[in-house]
Amino acid sequence: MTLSADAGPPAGRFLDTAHGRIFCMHWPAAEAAAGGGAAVVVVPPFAEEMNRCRRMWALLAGQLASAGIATVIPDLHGTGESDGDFADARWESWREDVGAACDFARQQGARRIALLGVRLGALLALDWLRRAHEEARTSVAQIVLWQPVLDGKQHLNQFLRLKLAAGLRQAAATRETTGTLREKLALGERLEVAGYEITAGMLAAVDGLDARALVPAAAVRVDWLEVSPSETPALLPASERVIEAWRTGAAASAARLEPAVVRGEPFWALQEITIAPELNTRTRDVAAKALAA
Amino acid sequence: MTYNGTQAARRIQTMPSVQDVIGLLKDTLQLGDRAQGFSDATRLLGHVPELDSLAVVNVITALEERFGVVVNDDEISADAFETVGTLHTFVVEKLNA
Repeated sequence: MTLSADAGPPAGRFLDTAHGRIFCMHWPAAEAAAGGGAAVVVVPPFAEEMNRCRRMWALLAGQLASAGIATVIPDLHGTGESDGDFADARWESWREDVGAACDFARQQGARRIALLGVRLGALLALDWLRRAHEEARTSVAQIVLWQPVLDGKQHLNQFLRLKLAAGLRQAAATRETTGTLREKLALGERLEVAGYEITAGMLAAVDGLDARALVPAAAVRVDWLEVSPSETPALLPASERVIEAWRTGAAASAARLEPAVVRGEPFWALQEITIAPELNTRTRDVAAKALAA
Repeated sequence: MTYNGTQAARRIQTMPSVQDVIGLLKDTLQLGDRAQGFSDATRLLGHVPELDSLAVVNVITALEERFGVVVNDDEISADAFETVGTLHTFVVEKLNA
């Protein structure tokens, strides 16, 4: 079989889980790295942000394939091609999906895995890792975080605001707020935001997420990558505080933390499909380094 | 480009300038070179076509992330988005609160 220098042909696969079939895209490595296979398993972000990232991931998979690294991209339960509606999705089932995608990567020959947690997927990857059974955990050599969400509740409030934006010119007293939306949901009303039905269970689970508490295990290398359009890129102030807490807090981690900022557009937030080439290049470089045999 | 911790730590301490707010609008609304003509008197809501209701949400999110403020929903009003200057004042008041 002749393999091109760039991406091998991606193949879609369904993985069986307790909550239904999970769809995964798999890009094989162009040429397996010496010493066994390496794979990046993408942990996708929340709702529409996932769709805005797909172009970036496809381009990244091509770069990783050339570097001898396979890529696995699962559609989390209730999203994309996977079984279930968004309203069926639970945080626990998403966590299981991360495990299923890693198991699949190992079945395909990967012995060393990097999780690529994107936005809310960063918290999902960290949450999965600290609960994963030993075999799964030891195969994960690295976590790469892309513009990680730091606070689940703030992230959901930013999402809920999509529903409020239309009422901006109304008087403050008559406007809905994220608070009133949350109250309605608690009373059992259905809540749909930008085409995604949010359940009380998902809201409660994500509300409780705090990056500070999800301290990475000592054995993994963590590459914390942010994108800034600024001419003098710097980490977000709130990110600095979490990294500081991970380094020196009560539950300080011995994990190797490598924060970096690259120039680029915030593609996950933009209506037009946008790419940040420097982020992909940096991701390929740090993954190649961490996953080398 | 690699992150410089000391430089970033200094940025936390300083109040955002009008230019910082213009930079944020340029990045978030993808205004390109048009942002060069912006000043604190530049009118925003109803005058900058990119600033539709969804873009307002994105700008607020960017304000929260870049300047470390937390904006409550009842504080979000058309008044804050009147001009570059009113938006800058909004951020500074949030940081001083």
